Amino acid sequence: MSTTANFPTTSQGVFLEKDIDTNDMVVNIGPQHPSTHGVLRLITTLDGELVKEIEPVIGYLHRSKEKMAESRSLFQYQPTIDRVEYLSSFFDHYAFVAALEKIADLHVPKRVQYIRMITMELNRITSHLLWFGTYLLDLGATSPMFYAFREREKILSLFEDLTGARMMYNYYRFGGVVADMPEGWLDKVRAFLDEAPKRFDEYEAIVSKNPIFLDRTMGIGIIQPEVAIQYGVTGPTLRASGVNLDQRKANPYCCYDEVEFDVPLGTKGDCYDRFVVRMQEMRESLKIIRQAVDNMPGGDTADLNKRRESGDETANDVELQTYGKKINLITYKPPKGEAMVTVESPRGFLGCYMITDGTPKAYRIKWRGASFSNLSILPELMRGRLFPDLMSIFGSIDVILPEVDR
Amino acid sequence: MSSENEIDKPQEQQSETVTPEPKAEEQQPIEPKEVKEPVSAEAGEAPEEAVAEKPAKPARKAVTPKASAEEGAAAEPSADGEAKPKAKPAAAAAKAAPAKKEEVPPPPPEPGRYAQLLMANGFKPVPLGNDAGGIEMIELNPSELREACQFLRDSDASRFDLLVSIAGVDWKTSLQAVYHLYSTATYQKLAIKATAVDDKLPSVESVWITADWHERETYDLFGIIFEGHHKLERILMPADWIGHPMRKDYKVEDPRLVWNER
Amino acid sequence: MTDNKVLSGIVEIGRGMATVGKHLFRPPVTLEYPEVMPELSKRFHGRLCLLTKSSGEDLCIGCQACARVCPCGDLIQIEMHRDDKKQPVIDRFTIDIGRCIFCGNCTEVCPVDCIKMLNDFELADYSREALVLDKSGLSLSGEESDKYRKEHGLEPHVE
Repeated sequence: MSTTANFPTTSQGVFLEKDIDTNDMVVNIGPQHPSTHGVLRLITTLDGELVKEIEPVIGYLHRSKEKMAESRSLFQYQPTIDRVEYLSSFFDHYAFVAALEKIADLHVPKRVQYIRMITMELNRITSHLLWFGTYLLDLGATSPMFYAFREREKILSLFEDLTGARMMYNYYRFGGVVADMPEGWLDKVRAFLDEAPKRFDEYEAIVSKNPIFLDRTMGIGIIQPEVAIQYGVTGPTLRASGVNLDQRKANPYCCYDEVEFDVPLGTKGDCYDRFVVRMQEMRESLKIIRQAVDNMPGGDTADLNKRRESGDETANDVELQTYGKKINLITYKPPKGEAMVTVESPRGFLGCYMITDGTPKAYRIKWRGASFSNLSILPELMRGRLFPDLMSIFGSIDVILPEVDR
Repeated sequence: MSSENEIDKPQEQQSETVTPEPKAEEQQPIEPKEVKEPVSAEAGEAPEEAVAEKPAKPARKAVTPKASAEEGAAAEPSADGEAKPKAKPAAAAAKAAPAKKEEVPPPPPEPGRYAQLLMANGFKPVPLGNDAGGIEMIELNPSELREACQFLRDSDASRFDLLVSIAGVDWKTSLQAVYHLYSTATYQKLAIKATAVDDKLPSVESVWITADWHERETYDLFGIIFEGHHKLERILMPADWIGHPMRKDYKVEDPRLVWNER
Repeated sequence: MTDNKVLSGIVEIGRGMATVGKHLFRPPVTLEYPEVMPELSKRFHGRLCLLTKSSGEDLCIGCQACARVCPCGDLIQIEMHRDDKKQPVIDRFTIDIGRCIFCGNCTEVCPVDCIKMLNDFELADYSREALVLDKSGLSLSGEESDKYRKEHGLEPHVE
């Protein structure tokens, strides 16, 4: 191998000079590798420093969530779907309960919808924060992870107050939520909302103009919008390419049509745009949460309880309950039907396709994971790129392997 | 890789020991013998159907899509594990096929917007009404599936450029694939159903690249063979897995997977 | 151009370092866990327990509701019979905490508010058998049950 090789200085697909005669080398990455965010195996064929072909091998985390639904009643199955995508499991639950609410035509009170909206948006922040910390860790920066986890812990503490768990919430129910917010919970959320923008400024001060970070992300891993759609890429990864597709705006579910927010869009579709889009999305989420907290029907639980004690009949309105119509969770048999619900999860379209046949169990439940489609674009992105860009690109599309394998 | 067995096994035990009511779990005995899975690649244990190679599963009835859709829904309550008669569905179940034979079949649903569009362009879609979420459903004959998908993607009136998912469904008499489409231009949704003939469907990989992995997943879990797919291999299960786990008649008969009761 | 990049690089790294340095003067956000126990919410999903009547007798009526909604199979096992006054008597009530996923389904469906979750999360043990708790290991005493009901806003038990 010639040592006078003029190695490319950028990663813009500059190939090595022809006179270098090297054999292809196959490098196996994973399945257990800290940068693969789970258990992913990448069979990489290298030509020197350039990636010729990359083949993701998935399935190491396959837990047969769809098969499990066949042997469990819907309520029995519900705790296990937290594990479909464990970093943002409120979205799993929303897709699941919304599918059944559509089939059974269950009424969901407004207060419940607002609680769901707050929790989902908080969950989006936790998910993006975790991505932020680990992505920077992939790129070699250690401290941002500590900062990101600090804020994430605060949100998880809010979740713990609300649901009793920090990750596996199991909080939504068909037509409602398990329990109303604890008294004073909204004030805690408000305190977080006041504090969070300052923290996000800190992150951006550390990272977003750092020259090493810019060199590793700007112009790397450009996804053209048409290619992204062909590969089924959704979520912030698609929006960074400039495609304005956000289900919260496009097909409003829950109460997203009652809040004002913007959809951050990228222009070039490189890793840096994806970073910027996610950072802005967190601020937009804060906006949504603030509006939802301020417009919460019934206000804080303490106020609502006082109104109820003083005999105010309007406080017992159905829109202020935690259940529209309480169903017997043990023996509930949904009517026959089918529904496909896609929600805008932090990674894109998270879909739950449910077919019920009148028994307590679902006939078929199909999970559409956003990461599954998002990961499939990786071979296309890596072809002809430099090997060190692999983790930069792979990290930026924010794949979570449990969702890929389900 | 035997995780789903390890999870599901105690569930079955529980339903026998603890739970007093019969659960609709014991569905396998009701299955007719001829749809039993050939369990090994040597095909030695498979009694009647001497099937040569792995993809050639016992051929389910080759039926036209419409007939099979009716049949699948009609055969379903009788094949169900529960003995007592079913409660009539309360909400308007959006299924086109009649639920019971003795009932008066509801009138066939009006063709929706995209069914009309396809009809106007020479395709023969079977409108199935809307699902519970208001998504239009149509059934397409496998022979025109690929062309219709291509048309739906390219036509200015539809622009379904995003394939959200491919969901396999085992209706016990036939295998079905449900394609959920989305338009990034008009934000409309559409569900296309296609019933596999001899477990075979045409691949739509040439229409949407993302169908590559989705079809591999459906092949892996249901055994639907997508003809024209460039590399139809298992994707979630290990490459040497026997059988297709999401089929309703699937039983773990792999001698390597022995549940270890501790 | 190069100078600008070098200069801006130095400035930006300096800005980042200053931000990091600020944290030297902030109070720590972490806890010294084994010495300082975290404050957990009342709804915390911890170890399962069985509340009893104020007198210390079993509250459980053996209805199997918790066992039927458990996603983990035969995790909860209940054997009961009825005495001559048709009152339920629980012969055996075991929960395999080692396989519990702490989802809280059982606590939600219990018709008598008997099975509940404690804030106890330190459940490690040396053997799997030790994690299978029986009725005596699960039941709280009468006073503890009253205290639990008071803290969690449940109705006090009346005979």
